[in-house]
Amino acid sequence: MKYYVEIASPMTLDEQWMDPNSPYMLFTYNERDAQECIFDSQGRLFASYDTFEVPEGETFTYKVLPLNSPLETIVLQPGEYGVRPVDLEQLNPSVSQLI
Amino acid sequence: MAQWSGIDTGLIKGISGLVIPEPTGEARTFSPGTTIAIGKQEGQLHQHLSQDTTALSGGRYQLWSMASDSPLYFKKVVSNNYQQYWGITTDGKLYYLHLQNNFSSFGTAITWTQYGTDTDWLDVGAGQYHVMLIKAGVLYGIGYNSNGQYGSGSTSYYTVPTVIGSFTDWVKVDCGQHTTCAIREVNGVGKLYVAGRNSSYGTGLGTQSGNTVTLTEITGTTDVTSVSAGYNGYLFIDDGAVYGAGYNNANAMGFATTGTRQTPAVTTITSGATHVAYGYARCLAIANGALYTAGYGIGNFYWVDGGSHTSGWEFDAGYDFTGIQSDGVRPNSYVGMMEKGGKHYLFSQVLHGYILNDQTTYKSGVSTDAIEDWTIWSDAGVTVDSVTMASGYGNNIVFITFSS
Repeated sequence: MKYYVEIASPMTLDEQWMDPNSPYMLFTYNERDAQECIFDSQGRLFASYDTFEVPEGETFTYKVLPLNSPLETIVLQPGEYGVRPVDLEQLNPSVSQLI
Repeated sequence: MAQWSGIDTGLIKGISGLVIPEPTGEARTFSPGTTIAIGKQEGQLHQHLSQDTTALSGGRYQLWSMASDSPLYFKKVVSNNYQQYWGITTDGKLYYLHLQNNFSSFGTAITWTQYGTDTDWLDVGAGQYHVMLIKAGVLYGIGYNSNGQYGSGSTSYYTVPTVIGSFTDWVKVDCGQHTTCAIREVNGVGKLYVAGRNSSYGTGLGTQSGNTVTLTEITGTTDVTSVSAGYNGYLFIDDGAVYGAGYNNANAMGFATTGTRQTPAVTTITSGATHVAYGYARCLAIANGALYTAGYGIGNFYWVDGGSHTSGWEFDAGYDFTGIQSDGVRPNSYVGMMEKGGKHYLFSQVLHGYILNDQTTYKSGVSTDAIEDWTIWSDAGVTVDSVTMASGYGNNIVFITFSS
């Protein structure tokens, strides 16, 4: 799922977050600089990010080699992964509603 | 700039007591059997000298100490845009040195740190934001993957090396800005695969829109033995001939004519090629021991012969060139090694990242900077074991390993 969130400044685009339910998977905004972001009529800046979704009835498997550890196999069950922690606590507005 | 004057003339000399002048004029002596890195980051010279942790004076130089008491003989070192250096030694160990911890769950490391204890690492490549590794034939990706440059089939990315696909016969990998080129050895024959951003036909798959998120075979090849990816394009050697695909700015790929190649096409080198190195606006190849060059010669930024080779390959004969490497992202950074008359020579052309985009700054900034012109460092009975280069966004480091 794609999320659009208001950001305070382009510096926010460097933000990264992880989901404890999908170890070693990293999430960031899709945009790398302000030119790629969306400005609304009030001059507010919006960035987007995509979560990782595993459809019902399927699983997603990946293998990682952490530092000083053997190869580890991780299996994700159906669900959505990588929702920005702050977005878990509030309804996510769509950008079309904001502009 | 004065601080460079002692490097190109003194680096390789006096190997039993190597002396590198410091900005203050104070000399520092080093033992043979060490790995040295020199280069620049944001205009600063870096030296990486084993078993020495004392910071150089003046603030313009940084000194990185080695994590190991034993010399590290790197066969290849790369870096991405986040100053994350990865190196594979000649005995198959993987080391990292991360000045930033982006996309890493193991933090920063200003000294080389071994990644695990395995000794079966084969190759490493770095793009602008991602790094690809091969360990015992298995391909791994780490870092940014928003263009599908892992070739994993998705755009998810990870903070530790993650297995890509199920093949176990990968032998070589190199990365462009947002692409990956890798070679499988199937029944003794090299097969080339590419993935990542298609812009400017950079994957050579006939499209310049979107991304190719799954490693895709380049069909029609005979036996691919080497590949070098650069900014939105790549060169590879197939059955001794050099082929190119993608962005061909100023005929930087050595074709007889200019223009982007949507799919791989043979250059004017049709046999005898052993090495290729493609950057952005120029490239190198070694064929039958001769060094071939193609692409731009701008301002002070000429090839070793001072020319601009925009109409195909030209070459410098008389040397036995044994290795070259280019930065996969920055336009004009190369290192190489050659042998003539029983002596080993190094040459380098290292340009500070984005400066090329600002011709004024570039011209004024490098005119007296010897290492940014082609420089041949003659030796004094020294055997150069390897030379490799890590070059990311605004930093270029040349690693030289030598023995007495």
